[in-house]
Amino acid sequence: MDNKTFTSRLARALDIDPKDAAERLEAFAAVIAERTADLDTIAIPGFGNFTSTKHEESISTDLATGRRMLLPPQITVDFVPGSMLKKKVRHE
Amino acid sequence: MNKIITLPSLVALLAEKAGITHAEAEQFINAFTTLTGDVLASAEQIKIKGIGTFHLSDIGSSPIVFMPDPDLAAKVNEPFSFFEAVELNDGVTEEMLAPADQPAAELPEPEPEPQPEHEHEPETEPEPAIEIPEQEPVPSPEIPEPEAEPAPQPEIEPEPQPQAEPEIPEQEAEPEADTPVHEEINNAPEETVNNVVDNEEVTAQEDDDNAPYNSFFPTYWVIWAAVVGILIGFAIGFFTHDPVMDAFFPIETEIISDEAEAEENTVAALDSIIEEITTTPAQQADTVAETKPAPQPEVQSQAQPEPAAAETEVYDTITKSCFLTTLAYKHYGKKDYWVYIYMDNTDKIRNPDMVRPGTRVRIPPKSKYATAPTEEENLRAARNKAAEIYRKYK
Repeated sequence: MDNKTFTSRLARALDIDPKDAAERLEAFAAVIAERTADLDTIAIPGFGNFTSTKHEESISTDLATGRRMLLPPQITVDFVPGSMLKKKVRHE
Repeated sequence: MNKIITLPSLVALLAEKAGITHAEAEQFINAFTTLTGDVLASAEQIKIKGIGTFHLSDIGSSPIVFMPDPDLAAKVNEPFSFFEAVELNDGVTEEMLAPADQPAAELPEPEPEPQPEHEHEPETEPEPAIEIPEQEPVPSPEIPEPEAEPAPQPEIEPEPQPQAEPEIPEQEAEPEADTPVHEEINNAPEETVNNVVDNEEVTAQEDDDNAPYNSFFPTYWVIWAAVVGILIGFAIGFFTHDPVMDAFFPIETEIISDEAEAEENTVAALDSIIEEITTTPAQQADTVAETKPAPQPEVQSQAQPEPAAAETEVYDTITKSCFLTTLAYKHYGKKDYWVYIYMDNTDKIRNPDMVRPGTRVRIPPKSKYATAPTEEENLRAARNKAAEIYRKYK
């Protein structure tokens, strides 16, 4: 399901205009980005947690050429589904 | 930082960000989670702009795999966007990088700079290293060379080596071999002085002449002089001999052939005269000795027809100051009779105003063309003929 379909279905579920649904969805994505950038965890009951992890700078070695690269720090965002979502997905 | 954002906090943040009420924000979050769960339950992936992609996976413990959207990853890693992956040199170790991590965790790049003292930045360090080998050999000047020189060579760059060498050999060589060194030293300045004087003279000579002219003279001037000389020679040859005219109007050959014919005629006449001279005395010598003077009048009588034949064909040469009109005035007494000469030499002359100097022309007798009874009519006819000739070339 692409973003447009998801937005339209979300607008139908909320009984709002698709444009407003898109704006709210965009605001929701911005909140997730801001909080995960601060390494916060967003916990949504019944759905899951948006977590972020900072990886410090590291040295990556190419085994073939022997070249070593100093990689800069990086923050990765991950999603850990909740138990209820797992059950729902697994149809339990 | 490292906080857990609960649902009420998330609702508050969303309400503030989207400009909606908390109830609407909470309703939106509930709808979002419910719709996402329903879609994932139908084994369909969801791609949400600004958040990422959710899809199911059988691999791993989690049935749902989340791939963050590139925009989300860029926003999250915005503080580190200035950093790039850097290739490390062989000498850099993790221990060197470790101390720099502790004071500033977000500044990984300055780490290699302070640590690689011996491997990466040897330019600042070798200077004190040079001074040490210079000072050490001084107290013990007898054994400095094998110890002092090999030590700086492996570690120090080749640049400082010539600086250390000239000072050390002077101090070391004095006790061991004074004379050769001093001779070399004494000779060296003289040679250098001579070289300097020569160089000064050479440079003085070179300074007198400008460099551009030096480079210009031997090549371009010679070429230009040769070209100008060739052009001048060609111009002189053109105006004097007129080779172009010769190529188109080969008159000289005709003249030469005429001259050759005339010479042959004269030679033949002279031969006949000589034969007569040689034969007549031989024949008469047997008969009478008194008749010896007789051949002379005979010869004169035999020779007389030759001028008569020469009178029939008179030749003259056109020069720069002697034209057809001049010849006509000379032979006929009137310049207007030049047409007679022209008509009698049409095989040599074409344009009467462009007769080349040196052209040998035949002067016909006046009676050949002047057929009118009176002189005036002859003049008129000659002028009409001249007009007719000029009409051809104008």
